[in-house]
Amino acid sequence: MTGAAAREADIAAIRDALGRFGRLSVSAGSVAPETDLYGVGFTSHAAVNVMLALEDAFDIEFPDELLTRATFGSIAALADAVSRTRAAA
Amino acid sequence: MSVHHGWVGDPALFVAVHLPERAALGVVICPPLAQEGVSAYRTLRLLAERLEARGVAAVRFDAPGRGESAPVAETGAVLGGAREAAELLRRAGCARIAYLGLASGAFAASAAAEPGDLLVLWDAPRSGRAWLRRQRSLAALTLGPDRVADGVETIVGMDLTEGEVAAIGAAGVAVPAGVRAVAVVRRGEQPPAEVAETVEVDGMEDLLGVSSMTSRIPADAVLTIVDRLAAEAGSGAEESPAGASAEPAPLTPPRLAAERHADGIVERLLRVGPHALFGIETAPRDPAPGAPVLLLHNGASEHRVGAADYQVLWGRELAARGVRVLRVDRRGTGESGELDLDPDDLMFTQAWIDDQDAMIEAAGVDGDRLVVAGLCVGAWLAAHAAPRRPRLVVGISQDVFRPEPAAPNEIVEYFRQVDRVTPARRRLRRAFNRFAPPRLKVLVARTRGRGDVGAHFAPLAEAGVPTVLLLSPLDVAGFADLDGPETVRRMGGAVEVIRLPSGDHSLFSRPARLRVFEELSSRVAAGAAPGAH
Repeated sequence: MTGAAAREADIAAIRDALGRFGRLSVSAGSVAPETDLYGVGFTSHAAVNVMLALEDAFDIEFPDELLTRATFGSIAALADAVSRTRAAA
Repeated sequence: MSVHHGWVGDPALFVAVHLPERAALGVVICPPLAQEGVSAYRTLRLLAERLEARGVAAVRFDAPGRGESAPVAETGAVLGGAREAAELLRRAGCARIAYLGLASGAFAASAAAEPGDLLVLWDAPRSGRAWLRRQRSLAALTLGPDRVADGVETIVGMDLTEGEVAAIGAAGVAVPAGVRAVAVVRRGEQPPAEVAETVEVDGMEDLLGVSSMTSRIPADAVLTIVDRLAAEAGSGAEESPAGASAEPAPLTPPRLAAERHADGIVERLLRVGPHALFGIETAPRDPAPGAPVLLLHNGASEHRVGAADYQVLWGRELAARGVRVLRVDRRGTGESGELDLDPDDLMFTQAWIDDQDAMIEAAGVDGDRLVVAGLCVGAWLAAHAAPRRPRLVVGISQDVFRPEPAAPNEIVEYFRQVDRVTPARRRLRRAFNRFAPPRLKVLVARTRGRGDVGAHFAPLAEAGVPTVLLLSPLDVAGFADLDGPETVRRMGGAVEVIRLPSGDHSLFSRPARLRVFEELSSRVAAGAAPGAH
């Protein structure tokens, strides 16, 4: 899988987790990668649920330094965090 | 309803025992730890009341060392208390016991269950380690660097000792041999352990997956569990311990202490005013004549303990310094008022102003001996004490300054709308914040219900009551949006504003809590003679 294809797969998994646990005010499928998730109803509680779902899906554990609001601010930021966590594993 | 409150045992456990006239089954309700316990408070009280109405006894308790229970030094004690609570039900006459644990309360429930008991694991985490992981992540997002300060770890709503971390991390929800277990899970989820029966319910996301202010009682879950336990109460005794009867027996109210004495202070139960509001007074055992009295309000729709039990701890520390401290549940919070499956939220209403009047009446003091302090809505209420001319008003994390009360449910519905903001509304708000002139921002903030700083504090200023505002960084920003700094400057020193360098609105942050207490205690206890110790 190419780097671009892998990132697309990550984003699809992130959208799936957002759809199940994000409690967004819009459909997760309609959210652009750079959209501010907190602007569409994302909360800290929902962010933790999404994070735990991603950890299960990717078999990773986000390190403490990534547990910031910025990490969960957009789909793109989440994809970056998944990528960094996977690379550090 | 027949609910008996008080303390039992040593170290004392604070309990609320619900007894119908006759029962065969008694249910020990184990509450979740930390802020989940605050969010779930009304739900568990309603569960106990509904069980009692169906002929099932129940006991709720504050975990050892937490809430109104006495401090404990023992490592891991926070996961205890359930067997002591069960013993109360047995002594009252219940032949059979069920342990029910909600969320992390499942750790205490599964540890306590013995052969012949029923165990109900309600929305239980897979393990203590998994629960800690979730709570630490939430704390990291909520508290940032304040999550660990001065070597003390804080999760949202609870400071943890190293012993507690170890005990919770090692906890699980295994079903002991000989115990029948029922898992109550969210729709589509798997039970956390091997159980005899799994029941799916709705609504749990709106109980524990949101802030305590906007959480809702999960009606489907409460009714389902009550039905299941009432059926259990009426079932045969073939699965019960030897000799246990399935027939309801007359129950005898337990002997509970209405006062708790410790270290020169005394805590006692209160019932206040025409609505019999529930409260706790913490006082020096031998108060000096003229000792100050602090009426201490919690925020939002939360009961009297505060995040990480800080209101309880403040009460005890101030009592040791000679101050009487009253913490009272306003209607619709904690143990006060009627509860149903979809209760009215009374934040910022006239009903709570009336409740505060009743509390001050019950305190039996006003003027120079009275100090009124509170967090958020508690701060707003405190300012309404102006006609009593207290010596001091302290507002913590105040962000609403509306002179007029709100209608029931008005505020909580506003915050639920904020949580459901649409992208278009978000863009509009962002553009407004960027381009609108400052005076227009102030006007809009006032008309949208956050209020008018000058009008809010005018009665206190006119009564000559000194007022101190202790604001977190977020509240400082909101205060500026309302032109607060300029307004209080024009009031000529009647309102002192102290800006905290860090921390959060709810005082989940331990450093912020310590800083606020330092400020509050130095001002409240000024002039107080310490009680005899």
